[in-house]
Amino acid sequence: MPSASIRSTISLLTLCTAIGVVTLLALATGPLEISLAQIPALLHQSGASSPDSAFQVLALWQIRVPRIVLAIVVGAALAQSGAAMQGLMRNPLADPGLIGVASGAALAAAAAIVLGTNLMPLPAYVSAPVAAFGGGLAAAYLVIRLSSAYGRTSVTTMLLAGLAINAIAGAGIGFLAYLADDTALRSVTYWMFGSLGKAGWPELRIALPLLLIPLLLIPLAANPLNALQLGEAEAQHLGVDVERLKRRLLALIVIAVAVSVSLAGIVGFVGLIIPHLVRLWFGPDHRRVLPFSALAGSLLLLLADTASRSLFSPAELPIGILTALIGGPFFLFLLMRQLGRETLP
Amino acid sequence: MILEASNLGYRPDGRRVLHDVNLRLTQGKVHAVLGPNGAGKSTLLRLLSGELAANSGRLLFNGRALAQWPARRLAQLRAVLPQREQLGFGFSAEEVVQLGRYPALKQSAPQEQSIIDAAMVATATSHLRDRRYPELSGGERARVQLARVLAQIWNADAHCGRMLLLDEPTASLDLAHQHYCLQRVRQFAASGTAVLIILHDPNLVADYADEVTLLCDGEVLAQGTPADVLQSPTLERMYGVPIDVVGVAEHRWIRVAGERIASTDAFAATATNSGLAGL
Repeated sequence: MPSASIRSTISLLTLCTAIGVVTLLALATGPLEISLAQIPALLHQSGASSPDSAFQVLALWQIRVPRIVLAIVVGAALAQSGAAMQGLMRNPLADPGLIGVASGAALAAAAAIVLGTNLMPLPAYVSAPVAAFGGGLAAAYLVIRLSSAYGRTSVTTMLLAGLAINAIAGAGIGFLAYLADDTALRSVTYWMFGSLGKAGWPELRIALPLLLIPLLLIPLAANPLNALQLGEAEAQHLGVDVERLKRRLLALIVIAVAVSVSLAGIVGFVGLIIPHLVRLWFGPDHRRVLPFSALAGSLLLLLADTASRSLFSPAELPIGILTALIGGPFFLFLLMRQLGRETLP
Repeated sequence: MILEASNLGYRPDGRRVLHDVNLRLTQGKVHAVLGPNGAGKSTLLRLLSGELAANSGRLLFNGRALAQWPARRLAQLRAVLPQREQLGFGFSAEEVVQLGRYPALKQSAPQEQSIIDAAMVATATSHLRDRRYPELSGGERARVQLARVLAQIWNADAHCGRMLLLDEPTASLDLAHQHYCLQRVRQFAASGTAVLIILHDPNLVADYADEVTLLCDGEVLAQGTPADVLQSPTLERMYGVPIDVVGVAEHRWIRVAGERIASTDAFAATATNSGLAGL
């Protein structure tokens, strides 16, 4: 259909331009004054012409650029894995947070921060992301094991098991917060509400390739994911190996979410809002929903992060608070519309 | 012989749902399955489609055990229309039909489009093309799903043995669409496809099926041509109500006997015996 491909091309150009523009804005936003006009020169500058500009170069390359890269990849990973999750569950309200990955990761990170100094010889900035990744995987494994019987995975059981894991993790984090001293409490809060300011180049160097795997592989499942919308048995009759599709997609989603949480803490609702908006614009075809969710997720997180840095400058609003503030009401709005239409199975 | 089921039995948790079912589907023939509610018709279709695994018996598709067929190759030759349908996302009717083309060896874009168009014409759904599937009526959705399964094997090589399994495709269709769609299914069969179709109306079976299997309590009660099988003693035994088979010219018309069914003593008596006492 030519009209659809024109629409895709225009949307692709618009999104990429918007990401470019917001990136420039984000580079110029922060406690250290750097004007838009200075940016090209500073980015090209390797040696410092003055102590002042040396400081600016450092701020750009060591603080703002990694933060922007982080926003782009984490936003893309969260939004795309949200879209894939909704396709997998055949439910537009599903979110990777629902199966407990994010809260499992946050619990493990909180444990590493509060108890870690006694248990592990590693400093908290290393042990927390590692623990978050492990915790996310463990929670996902538990939920998937609980919901898989006789070689099949039940979506309803998975959501319910995720609910339980979320509750347990919430209690655990609350208990750890009770035990924590002031410094640890601040760190725990960061995992609970998310921030893009904690990870620098060393973390990114490990996490980027890990996030690129799901980002590039999930869109390849677009066609079988479309077929799955007809129902599991129907997709099977269309030649889709449904169990294999579910296993592969879940693994990719878990990697995307666990790595994202280990880098940036819990940033909620991105995986819910973005795929929904993309579906409103393109329709439900996953061949478009998956890649465009990634792009739009990057844009949203970049915008949200820039806003969270400038709203109460020089203080920073945790980005998860901002996304939850937008996402919570949005989710309720979706829910009410769904109930009104009763199109949910 | 496209599908050959011998002595199929299905006993989940020891409960006997199907017992000793033999069935053969041949190219170009429409084979109907008729039976009262709960007789095991849908279960039989799910066994024949491979969705459920039989506890006993043998199931061959084109001479090879069904379970040994690679999923993709099987889907290129065989399409299944289930009774229930569920689609949460707002695909358009045309996109739903397109989903049927998932396993097919893709043709050029214009050829693909012409297959989708033809399948939609065959089910009288062309005018619904751009409508959102979840907003369609039950009958419209049933026809879009039928278009989808027709499109799935539309251009599959008939020499390789195509098969269509349909679970009550006419259940929510109005009178005109029932006949329209069944005529198209017959044409589709004539183009070299084996068709199995679950129907509830014996008159539709008489009009459109070449062969019929009567299923009752999980067992085959009778099997043969509709003219041989659809006799009042057999049907009465199956449904537990008195049934007239009336000849109108060369046509036969099957109906429940009596003027007003509930007032007939004979009906009441048999109905009580067969658990329909509440009627």
